[in-house]
Amino acid sequence: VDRDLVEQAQHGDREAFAILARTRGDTLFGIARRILRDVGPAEDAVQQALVIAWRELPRLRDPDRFDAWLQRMLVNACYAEARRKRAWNANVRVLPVDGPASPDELGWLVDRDEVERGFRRLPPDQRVILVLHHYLGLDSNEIGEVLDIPTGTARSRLHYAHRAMRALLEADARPTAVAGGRSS
Amino acid sequence: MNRRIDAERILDAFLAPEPDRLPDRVIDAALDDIARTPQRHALRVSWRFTSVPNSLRTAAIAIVTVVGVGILAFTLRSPGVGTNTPAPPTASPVRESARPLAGGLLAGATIDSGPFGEPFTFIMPIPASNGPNEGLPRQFSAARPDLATGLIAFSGPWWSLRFVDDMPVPVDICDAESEMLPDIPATTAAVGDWLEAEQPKRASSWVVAQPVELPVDGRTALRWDLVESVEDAGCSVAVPANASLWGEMLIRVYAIPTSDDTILLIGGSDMVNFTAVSTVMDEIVRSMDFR
Repeated sequence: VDRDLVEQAQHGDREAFAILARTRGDTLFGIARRILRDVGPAEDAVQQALVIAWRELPRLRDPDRFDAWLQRMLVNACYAEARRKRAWNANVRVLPVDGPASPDELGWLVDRDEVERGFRRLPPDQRVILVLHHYLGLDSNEIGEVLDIPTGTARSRLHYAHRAMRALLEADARPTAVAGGRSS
Repeated sequence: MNRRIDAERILDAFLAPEPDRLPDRVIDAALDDIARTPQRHALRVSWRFTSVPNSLRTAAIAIVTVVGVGILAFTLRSPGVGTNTPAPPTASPVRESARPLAGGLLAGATIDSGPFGEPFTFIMPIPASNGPNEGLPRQFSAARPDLATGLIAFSGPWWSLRFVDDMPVPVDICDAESEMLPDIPATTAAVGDWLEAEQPKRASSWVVAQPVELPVDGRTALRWDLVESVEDAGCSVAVPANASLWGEMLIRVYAIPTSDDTILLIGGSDMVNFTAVSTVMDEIVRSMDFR
């Protein structure tokens, strides 16, 4: 059914595209909000991505790949939004606590602010890949399809993103550990 | 105790799926925009051609080549043909029709800039493959020559290139809404000043590398690499003003002198693909042939 809608939209059917947009809006918003860490820019990114998707849709070769293609539009829009609004700065409003944050789920690092702070310090391409993997549950192959990069590159980027996040968290945690009397 | 942080588990929790609700007003605003937005035409010729199996595509190219060579040979060997008729306009110098480039690309189509101030031809490297996930930059996905406005633009995933000539540009190259200059700065040195004027505004987030000279058809072009900080990027090079480079952190600008002013070649890509894209850009500029 979605393939039919995509094909209709490719031929200029705005109603078909509206259905596609409404059924995917929440997921797109979830992705953008996690990448951009702010609601307003995330909404703007989704809006921008939908408009670009509409404009470029006739050039989508395989309607079955609509979702990955649309997510790529969104990722690009997130980059643009971040650059336009300087959303990567540390001064942006911190999101209210969302999602599971109990000590059990976050392990021994219970301070969600530390995770938030570390995540914001990641470069945008690493945030994107982490959101695609941990939020959407995509594997390297699927990430490669969304970002239009080879699977090996996606795997490598994911590895480095994890490593960077771990380093940021460990750097944040280190003073506390020292203060707690850890001996070297 | 020396515990290693389990970043993956922490991220699973931190980025966990939860109900996200996009406000209806956002979708409605997008649909309002869409109602005023025409769709681009599909590149059907390109799509059909690239969807043909490689063997058939190769055969088709071979047939066209053989026929073309045959016609050319027939023409050259027929002394009666063309005699006593006015000489045709001088053809552009013959260039190699295909040569390998870095990244597995093949040099291909010669493109004519048409009514650019000083017309030129250049060779656009066309990727050997157009399939999914076979390495970037591979797609010659959008060729949008808009010669009436002095713009030839190409793009693929995560990269784009554009020639611009004879058009207003923003004083602040990063801000399409800033005051406009009536035209691209007239000399390569003035283009350099224009780019470097941006640096104080952007502090460390905008680095203009030293210009590099590049010979182009008997003249000297200048090339700058513009690097934007990931942490504090605020510039999306807005030339032309309605087609900013976005999502691209590494940008290369060429100023190429013409008989009366300069034209620009601007391209950008992400960090992963910039090396390949910039190599292609150098090849394009070196292939330029002014008539």
